[in-house]
Parts: sequence; structure tokens; C-alpha cells
Amino acid sequence: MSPVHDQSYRRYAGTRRPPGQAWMVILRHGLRTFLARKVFLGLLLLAWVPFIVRSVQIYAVVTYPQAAQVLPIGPGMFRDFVDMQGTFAFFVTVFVGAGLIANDRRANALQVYLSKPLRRVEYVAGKFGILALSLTAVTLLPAVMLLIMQILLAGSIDLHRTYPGIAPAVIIASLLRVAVPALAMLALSSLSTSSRYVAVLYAGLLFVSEALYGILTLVTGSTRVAWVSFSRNLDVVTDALFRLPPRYETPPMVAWLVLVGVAVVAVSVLERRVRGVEVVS
Amino acid sequence: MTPSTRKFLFGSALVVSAGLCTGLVAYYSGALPGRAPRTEFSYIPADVSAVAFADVRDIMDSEFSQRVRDAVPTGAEKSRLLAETGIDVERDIDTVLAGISGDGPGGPLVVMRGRFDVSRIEALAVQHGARQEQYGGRSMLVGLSAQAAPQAPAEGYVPSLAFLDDGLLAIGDAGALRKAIDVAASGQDLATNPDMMRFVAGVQGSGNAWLVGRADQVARQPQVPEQFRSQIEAINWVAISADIDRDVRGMIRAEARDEESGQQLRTMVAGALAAARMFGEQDARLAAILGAVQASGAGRNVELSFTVSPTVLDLIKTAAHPPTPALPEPVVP
Amino acid sequence: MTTPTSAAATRREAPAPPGLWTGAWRVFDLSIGQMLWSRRTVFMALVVGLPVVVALVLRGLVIVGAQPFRPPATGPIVFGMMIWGFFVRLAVPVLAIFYGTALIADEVEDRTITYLFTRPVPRAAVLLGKYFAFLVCTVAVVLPAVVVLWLLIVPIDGRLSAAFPALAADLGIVAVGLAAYGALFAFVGATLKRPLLFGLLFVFGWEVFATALPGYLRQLTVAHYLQALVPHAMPSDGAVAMLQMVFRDTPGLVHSLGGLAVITVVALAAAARRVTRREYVLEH
Repeated sequence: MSPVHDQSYRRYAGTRRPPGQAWMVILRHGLRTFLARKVFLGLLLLAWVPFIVRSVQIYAVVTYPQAAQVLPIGPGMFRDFVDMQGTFAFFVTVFVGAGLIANDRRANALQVYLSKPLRRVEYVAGKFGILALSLTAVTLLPAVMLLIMQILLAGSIDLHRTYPGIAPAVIIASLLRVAVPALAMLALSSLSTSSRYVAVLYAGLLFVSEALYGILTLVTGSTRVAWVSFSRNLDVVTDALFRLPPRYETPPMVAWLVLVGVAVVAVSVLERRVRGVEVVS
Repeated sequence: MTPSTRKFLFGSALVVSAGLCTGLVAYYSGALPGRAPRTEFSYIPADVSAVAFADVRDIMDSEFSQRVRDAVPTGAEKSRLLAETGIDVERDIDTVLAGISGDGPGGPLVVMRGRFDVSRIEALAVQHGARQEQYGGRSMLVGLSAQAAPQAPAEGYVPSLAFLDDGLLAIGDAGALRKAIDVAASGQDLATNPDMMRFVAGVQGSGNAWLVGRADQVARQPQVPEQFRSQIEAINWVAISADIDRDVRGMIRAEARDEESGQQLRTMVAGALAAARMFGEQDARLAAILGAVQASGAGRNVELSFTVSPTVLDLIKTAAHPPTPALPEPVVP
Repeated sequence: MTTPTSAAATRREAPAPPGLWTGAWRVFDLSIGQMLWSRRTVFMALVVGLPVVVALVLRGLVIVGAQPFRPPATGPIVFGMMIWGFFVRLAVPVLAIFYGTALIADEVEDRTITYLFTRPVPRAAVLLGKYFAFLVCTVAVVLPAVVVLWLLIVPIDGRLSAAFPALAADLGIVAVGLAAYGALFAFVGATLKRPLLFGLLFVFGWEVFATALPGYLRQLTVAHYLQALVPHAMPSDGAVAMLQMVFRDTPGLVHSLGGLAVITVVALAAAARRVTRREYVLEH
């Protein structure tokens, strides 16, 4: 005879934590899960390759100043570096983010989560934290490390004296590449029960918007339509942050509005979709 | 398979078939000369290697032409033709069609439509040494002075003029003019050259000036550099058209020998264009010009479309006085 | 109770299990409707419907007398760019990733693969049937979109007659591309636990990187063979596209079609072999 476990109501026997800290449990568990996956670690390692390349570039310019003619070190280099990290951020977003809520919905775990002393906002914050921290590891962290590496190798802070806006620009541009995609992906993840569908939907939206931008640029003969592309909005804002000549004619304010709009829509979708019980009318 | 699935697949096949049938019908009807050839075409022999057309009236009235005229006010050739024959290019001529032969001393045959004062032209031409002649029922003025000729005189070249029809006048070598009159009588005109007419039909209506020619004739010219010759030899036909209005919208189309050559040519053009864009993005003038250039094409065809806007013209005019270059990004490692 | 004689008679009367192709046809018949009337079609409609919507807007501008294109853009040029931007670089690989990786992975994820594998059809037939269902399903949605796009866009400052050969080529390229990429990702889906990430990395990472390098690396991509067939000029947008054009060695028609055929057949055979031999462990 196999033992019959008691599945009836039992009082919570664990340690009670003050309200508002439960999201940390989700975050910790989520990060541990992903850090145990070799693919994820491989992605993280790959994302640091540009950092190594740029470090070598800085070293080359410090050692051979004439190399600066070909590989200048300035706001342009940091802008390009932040742009480049966007590619890795895309893959991390897809890998980490697609199943964050979709898998819970698939397993009907959302009801289980929300039946615990965990508010909806904490659940979303925990899930957001998993993706945001993962993205930080491939965007903000290498960018900040590159700033530090530049100071260490140059042995001076002349660059930052000349361009005092570089460090804030690097941080804000990187954070934008963390926050907006993370919110968008979480919203998409809450719309489906299939992580594969979510991943393809995210990739599709991103690349369709890019293709649409290409066509509209050809038709109108102007890059003013860059606001239709998700990634070009980030580029427009980044150019403005670094105070570099804009690559697109879209005003930065429009790009900011689009990005804020995406974030607001994403939060609104999460608010509607992350519920313990789905009320079917 | 459910009925709805079957219906969907059937509908999909229907849409694709309908599109393909439409394309097929358009393709075969489009391969024929699209519209009735101009009367001038009746005088252009079928064996010319290139044919060019210009709607002079339309071009002269265009805003762009006005800008160019302001920039380049000289008109020595125009004045010479006026003195020699009494023909005012700007006032009297509406359209010009030229047939260019690659071989022989004939030179181009230029057929002009417009308003011509026949008696004045005859009087002036005779006064300058031409003699009147009747050929095939048309009046000719043979032996104009060299200045009135549409090209530099070659050995055996006799600059002449013929009144082909009401409002239709031709200038060229006497032999070429006689041949043109014979061609019109025999019907062996340009319309009987289906290859050439395929391209003419393609450029007609696309602009107020165009040129269609066999590229191999160009490659045969001795002044073409050897390394360039091999590139040209991969091309069979070239068509150039321009619509000159407020700006100039132009198109250069080349038909390669085969699809592989076409693909290589497209790659070469697109690569060159992309490289030029990359290196020219620092220069606003160059970027403006290159931004209005677009490479495309399919199969054996390579197309290069471009626009020269009044702004670009202004930029070109000011190219001699470039603005002070922007300071390079300081290099502070 | 059944006597040994009657049992033997029953065994004799039982129909022989279907062969590979009969089995594949039955799986195809079952799968085509499931694929066509699923959420995936919504995504597919989004990807291929957007260019049609853009074309409708442009056509509407023409109807009201506005000039929709800024020179030098013309209908045929814009159509060529749409084929590159929306179909060759986007719809074909993305749809192949989406459907191809899901052929087996979805059944594993839904824990329904057991039902398919306990049927008296060869396992390879399951994969082949689903693969052909994917191909018919995607081709049935994408090709009409290309045709409608062509009819709407090309006549704006262009001629249908001149652009017809390109349309015929484009339709063929889309179908061949879906077949090749689909077979490749069917193999990936049958082999890897997380095929989607690999698919995205392959298409948007490896293929972009390899085609921008000189040498033979590009021959390890599908894009190298597929993009060589595209009759329209490659868009020159950005440094990567420039490098792709500079180092682009265009294989001939036979080489390209041969390459795609080899990829399709080898990938499909490998996927069928993998499905036949692999023990799928269903997660709880």
C-alpha cells in the first residue's frame, strides 16, 4: 500500500516576511533557474565579447595614439557599444522573457501564486526583475565596465572632463534597453500560454516594425518615419543622450513618446492579464 | 481535410492563379510596342545602334531648365544654327528624335518636329552655299556649312537638311537623309526592330528625354578603356530616361547578356552605391545626391534611378565653396 | 473465447499498416486544418498582411490623386524592397522557425506525441506529413499576399508587363525558401530541447554574420543560396548590408537551387531519422 498524503488545509508553517518582499523570492528563484542553464551562460559570455574588443581598442589607442585616427575613442564609440549590446539584449529577452508569465499561465500556476501572500504587483515585479537583471548583465554592466576600463587604461578622466555627459548617457541608454524591452516582453508573455508563440511574436513585431521603417523610408525619402521601428526609437533617443549628430530625422521627443507609449501599453496589458481568476463573461 | 480548409486552399490557389494570369497577359501584350510610334519613327532606319528623343518644348518650359539656363547662359551652338538655317531651337522646335548609327560616316540623323519657316530656311541655306534637291518627293538642302551639322564633319559627310513632312524637318548627312526617306517609303523603319522597340516602349512616356542603345556598339569604340570594355561587354542594351520638370527624375537601365551577368552587375552597382553612401555620409551634399539614387532590377536588368532636385543643383553649384569642415571628434583616450 | 483458428483469420484480415507516404498523407490531412486554423495563422497574417495594408494605403493615395512615392522610388522598386524586407529576410525564415521547430516540439510540449507514435504509421511519416502540412499552409497564405502586393504596388509608376518575370521568380523563391528553412528547423525542432532560440540565433545572428564575411563561411547558410535567387537589388541599408554586398559572391541559378535542394533533402532526412530513433521524454 502506498502512503496517502494529507492534501487538506494546513497552516503556513514557514517564516512570515513583511509584506512587499515576496517578489524577491520569485526573482531569486527565477535567476537561479536561468543561471543553471548552459545556454543562458553562453549567451552572457557571448555578450561580453564586444567589451573585450572595445577594451583592446582603447588599449591600442593608449599605446599607439595614431590608432585613434582609425578607431577614435569618444562618445561615438560608447554609443556604438551600447547599440551593439542591443543585439544580445534581444536574444536574452527572448530566451529569458518569453516563458516568464506564459509558462505560469500554461501550468495554471498564476492562481497558485496569487493565492499566497503575494500581490499582483509583486508577482510582476519579481518576473520583471528576472528579465531586467538578465538584461542588465548584457547591457548596463558591460557598458559601465567599459567606462571604468577606459579610465583605468588611459590613467586619466580627461574624456569625462571633455564630455561630462558620457557616463549618464551610457547609463540611461542602457537602462532604456533594459526597461522597455522587458516590459514589452512581459506583456506579450502574459497574452499567451506558449512561450514559443510569445518569442516569435516578439521577434516578429520587432523585425516587422524594422521592415516597415525600411519601406516607409524608401517611399517617403526621409528617415522621419524612424518612430515606427522599435529599435530605431532607442537609437534616436541614444543619439540625443550622447549629443551626437542624429542618424534619423525623427525628433527625440517623438521617440521618447513612442517608448513611453510602449511601456504604458505593456503595463496596462499586464494589469489586465495578470489576475488570479479569469472572469469569463 | 475539412471543407473550410479545402475552401481556403482553393481560394489561395485562385488568387495566385489570377495574379499570374494577369501578369502573363500583361507580359505578352506589354512586349509589343505599347503605343503607336511617333511619325518621326518612320524615318529612323531599323539598323541604328541608338535612338534618342527629347521633348524640347517641355524641357525648355521646365523650372529645372530655367535654373540650368541661369547657371549656364551661353548658347553658341544654338545661335549658330539660328544664323545658318533660321531655326530657333527654343522657339521653333517641339521635339527632337535622333537615330545614331554605329558604323559608317553617316553620323546621327536628327528629326525635329516644330514650326518651321520653310522659305526662310531655304533662303538662308542657299545663301550659305547649300543646293536644293528633290528626293523621294521631299525637298532637301544639300551641302550646308559644317556649323549647322549635328556632329563634327567626317570624311564623306555632307551636312544636309530635308523637309520630311508638314512640321517635320531632318538634319544629317545627305546619304542618311536619303536613306531615311527610302525607309519611310519602304516601311523598314525602327518599328521593325522588335528588340529596340521593346526598350523604346519601356522608356516612352517615362520622361521627356530618353535614349536607347546597344551597349556593344559603345564597347567597340576605341576610346573606351580596356578594363571598362569588359564590363560593357556584359551588357546588351542601355536605356536612359529623364523627366525634367521641377527636378530631374532619371533612370538608367541596362540589360545584361544573361541573368548571371545581370546579378553580378546589380551586385557591383549596389555595392558601389552602398560604399559611396558609407563614405559620403559625412558630406551633406554627397549624402543628398546619393540619397536620391536607388539601384534595383530583376533578372537580366539593372536599374539606377536618381533624382536631381533643385536643392541638389544648388548644392552642386556651391560645391566650389565648401563650408568649413566640422571639427573632428577629439580623441581623448 | 477466441480459438487459435479464428485468431489467425483475424490476423489475416487485418489491413497492412500504411507505408511511409500513405502514413505521411494521413498525418498531412490531419495536420493541415489544425495548422491553418490556429493562433499561428494570426501571427502569419500579421507578418504578411502588414505589407498588403501598406500597399493598400499607397494605392489609396494614388486613387485620391496624391503622389505616394518620393522620387526615385517607383512601384517596382518599392515592391522589390518589400520582397527583401518583408518576405526574404523576415517572413520566410521567421515562419519557418515558428512552424518548423514546432512540428515535433509542440507535440512533446502538449504531451500528445504519444498518441501519434502509437498509431500504426512510421515515425518518419509523422514528421513528413507535418512538414508538408506546414509547407502547404504557409505557401497558401504567403503567396497570395505577394501576388496582391504586386498587383497593388507595381502599377504605381511601373508596368506589370516588365515586372512579371520578377513576380514569378519571387513566388518561387518564397516557396523554395519556406521548404529549405522549414526542413532545417524541422530537424532543429526534432533534435534540440529549445529549438526556437537556436533558430533565431541562426537566422538573425549567424546568417547575418556569415554573409557579411569573405570566404566559404556563407555557404553554411541558407540565405546565401536563397538571396542569390532574388531578382531585385539588395537594399543598401547600413554597414552590415554594405559588407554583405561587397563580399557577396552570387552563385548561379543551378548552384543556388541545388544548394537549397540539398539542404531541404538532407535536413528532412536527418529530421526523419532523428524522430525515428529518439526517445522523447515528456516533462511533468
